[in-house]
Amino acid sequence: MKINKWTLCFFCTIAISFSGIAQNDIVKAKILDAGTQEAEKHYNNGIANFEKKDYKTAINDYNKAIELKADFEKAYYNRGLAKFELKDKLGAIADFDKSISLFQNPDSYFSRGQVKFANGDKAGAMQDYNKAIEINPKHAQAFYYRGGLKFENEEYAKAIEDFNEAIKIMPDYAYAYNDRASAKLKISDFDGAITDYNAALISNSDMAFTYNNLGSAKRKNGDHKGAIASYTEAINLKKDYYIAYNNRGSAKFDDKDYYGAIADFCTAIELKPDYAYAFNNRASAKFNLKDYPGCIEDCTKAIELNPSYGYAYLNRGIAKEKAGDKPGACADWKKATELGIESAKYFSEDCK
Amino acid sequence: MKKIICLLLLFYSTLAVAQNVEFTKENFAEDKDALATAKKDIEAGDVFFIRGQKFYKQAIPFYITANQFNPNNALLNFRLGKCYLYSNFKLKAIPHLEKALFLNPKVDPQIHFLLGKAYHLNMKWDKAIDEFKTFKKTISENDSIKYMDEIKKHIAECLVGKEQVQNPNRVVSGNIENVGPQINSQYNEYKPVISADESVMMFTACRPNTTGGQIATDINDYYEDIYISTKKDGKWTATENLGAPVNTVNHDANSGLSADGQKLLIYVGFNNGDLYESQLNGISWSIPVKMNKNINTMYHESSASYSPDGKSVYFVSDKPGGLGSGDIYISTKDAKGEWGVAVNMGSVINTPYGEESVFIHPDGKTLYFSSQGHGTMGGYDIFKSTYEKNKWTTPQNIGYPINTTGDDVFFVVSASGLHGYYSSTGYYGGNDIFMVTIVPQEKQMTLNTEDNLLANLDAPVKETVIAQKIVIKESQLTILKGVVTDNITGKPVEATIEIIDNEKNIVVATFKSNSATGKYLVSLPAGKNYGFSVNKQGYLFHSENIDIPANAAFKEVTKDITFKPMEVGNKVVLNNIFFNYNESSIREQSRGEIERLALMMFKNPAVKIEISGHSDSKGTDDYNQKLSEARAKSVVDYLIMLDVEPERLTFKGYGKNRPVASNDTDEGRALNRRTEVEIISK
Repeated sequence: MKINKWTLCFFCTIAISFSGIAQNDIVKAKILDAGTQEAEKHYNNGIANFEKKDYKTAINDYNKAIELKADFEKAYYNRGLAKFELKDKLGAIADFDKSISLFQNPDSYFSRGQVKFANGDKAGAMQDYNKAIEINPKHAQAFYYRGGLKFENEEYAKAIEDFNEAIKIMPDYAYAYNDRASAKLKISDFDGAITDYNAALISNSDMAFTYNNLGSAKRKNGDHKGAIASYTEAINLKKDYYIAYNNRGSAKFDDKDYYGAIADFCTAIELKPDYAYAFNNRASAKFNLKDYPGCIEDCTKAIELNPSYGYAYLNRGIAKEKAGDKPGACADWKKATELGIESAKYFSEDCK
Repeated sequence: MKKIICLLLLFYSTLAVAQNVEFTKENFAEDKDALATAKKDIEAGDVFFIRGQKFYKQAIPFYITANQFNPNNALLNFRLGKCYLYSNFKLKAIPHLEKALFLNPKVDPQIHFLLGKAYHLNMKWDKAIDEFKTFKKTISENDSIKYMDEIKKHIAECLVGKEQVQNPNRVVSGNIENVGPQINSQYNEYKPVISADESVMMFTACRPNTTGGQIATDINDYYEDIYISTKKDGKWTATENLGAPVNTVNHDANSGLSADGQKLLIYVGFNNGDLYESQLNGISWSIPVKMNKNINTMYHESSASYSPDGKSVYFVSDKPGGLGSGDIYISTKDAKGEWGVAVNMGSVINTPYGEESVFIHPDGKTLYFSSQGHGTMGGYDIFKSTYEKNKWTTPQNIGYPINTTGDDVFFVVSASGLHGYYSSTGYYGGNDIFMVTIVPQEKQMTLNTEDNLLANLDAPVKETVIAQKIVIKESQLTILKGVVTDNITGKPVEATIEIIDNEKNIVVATFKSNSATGKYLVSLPAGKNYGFSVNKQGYLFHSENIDIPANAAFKEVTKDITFKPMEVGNKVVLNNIFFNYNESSIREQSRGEIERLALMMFKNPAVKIEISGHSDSKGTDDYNQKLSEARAKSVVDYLIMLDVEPERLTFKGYGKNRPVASNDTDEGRALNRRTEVEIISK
């Protein structure tokens, strides 16, 4: 009988409660569907406060929403995001867990993956990204971040596959282009890397780091002048980009412009006075200008900054040899060998 | 054979030119016996000469004797020179070829070509080039086309050689030493390989003490065997034949030695030349095992070298499909440990000419090999290529004096990088093994840089995809409340109340009035038309219709229900039955009400009812009566369709005759247009 069915169906949407003291003789029925939406109102307030970056108030709003509607999946999800903003990672994970238990929301998996990653749990993050992709094969961000995890695991070919997917779904995904380029750089596909860095910059030309990376790809491809131009773009976008200064200096070094190189290493050191690389590199430029005492001084500074800096020992040894201090050179190469620098072994062969 | 020799002799005697002295009685009247001996020697030498290059060396002793008797015969000098040119003593060719040319410029069409080659070998670059150019002028047009490429290549090699000699040691510099008589002999020694500490050398030689002691017809020399020498007190000791099972009666030539010195690659002469592997078990080498079909073919596979990790092997094969007469290939072990499909190293390394003697340095990225292409200064030169940026660099000629105009092959470099060993034309005869001390290249400074490779690590972005706001339907609520009481007794009744969304015909709420007070309260969102039905066993079905417009402000509606018991004569208006305008057809929204009426009938199976239709006073009586009756019938028909027994149902149209309100107002008329149900028996 149809009637019964209809009737039964809607029993469940009704909450019947006896009203307060004054009207305890009245049966009060409340329709919850399109009726009050009190929970939703709190939830919406939560979003507004989240957007105002008032995460604590947002969490309060979501708390109220959840109080009124214990199965309010989206409220758990959003509360998890707010907790993540407040660095309450465990709280965030608990909320995403609850959200997932109520509904297989790919965004919940994705966000939980992000929290797990922030918490250092890469394997957990990987699982969550996998799940997000399984539920939503068009989840570009999940592909992108999973690609990043694979990149960090040095699985560059697999990382490239994920970045490919991310780009297929979101053809202007600048970050995915940048990271795919970097993966290509790692497998020495320099031409491919250059193409992708350029594609990233077409989507977003404000990314100083992409210009820097592009410079490094060109440098590895032997295009010193092109590399210098790209590093310059990076520096123009980010005036205090000491890494780009250090790289541009190295490209100038490759181009045999040792004075230009020294100027860039000096800037890098001004911007970051404890930048051991820049000291080591400035030492190298000084060496090629036959300023061996200057070279030794910079190497020593680099070693002071980073006592396990094998290459700085190797370089200082070479400079000491040139300066006529063979025992000093041998001692430095021995130290460099201890620190894992293979080539130092051959240098020290005639040290005995 | 005799005939040819006779013809040759005839040739000698007829080509008499000014200074040329023929082997004739007239010329040597007083020394007939010696003349006869000399002629016999020439005859004996010619037997080998006509058999081809490989046999030239056997002609030489006979020609020398004849030449001592008569040093001024052009043709004999030409032949002796030519034999020397293809022997282990190439440079001895020059005086004989020069003399032949002097005695008779037309001694042989190839004289300028061979002299050019001899000068080339002797690094007389300009003289060689002149001879090649003269040769080109003196030969027929057909021959000119035939030799064109060869002449071009020789001239190019001379130019390379000239440049190399002027700027020696471009890649490897250092002193070159012959490794000495303990290793080198008058026979061919080549293919040196060195243990990591340079205390053991293995090499290949063609010596009389080869296993089986036979001459191989393919090279007209002793079969190749592998020999070993060890270094004691800085000197190489006398070499020993490596012996069985590695050396066989066939060609056995060592090739690469693995980084750990435990595995040896061996060239064996079977099947046109194949590669084998042998393993050092303690102090003895295992029986060589032939490498698989990815390496060996029916063609000539010669030298090979293990990569430092032992997982790849670089080797040379002249199988078809390559770029030249011998190409370098690489094969890598598959998951099962089998050598995988060989891949040609491509046009950076391989040329249209021959490549030979490949060696990959223990650093795994420096390849040494010999090539006739790539700009040699003659024969095979040694080249070096390094693996950088995922590709092999353009091979560099390692330069004079390591490379010479002869075949410079089998270059290996010790693990330390300080010494190179190779074979070249030597002082002791044939190929000798040489060692070059490599002066370390200028030590380079190492720069260090870093990048920001992962975008989200350098510039993390908020990837928070916050769940969307929910649209709040800001509908106003209407509170509907009231008391349900018995029509007769006035006592409160606990009845079931259903709220129906008439548009969707769904029950949106079901609840009961309070049993003690009969009170109820329900809040209803605006914007809907609701049916309100009150039921209880023993009572007549009661229905109300409540329309709450969407723009209605909050309000409270009191609706007290006087509930009529199921008694004969009691009647109630069916407020939720709707008809189409001026028609008897029931509108969809009425379905719920009729179904609830049917339910009441099922619960009270004895009850019989009358459905009556009523109209307002508009229109004619006849029309109103007929329409109201037709409408009542439609309801009954629907009830029958819902399986209510027809005998329990009657219908009647009353037209405007039973108004419940005034017909003077719209509201009143609306109340008068109605369908009623009346209990007619129970």
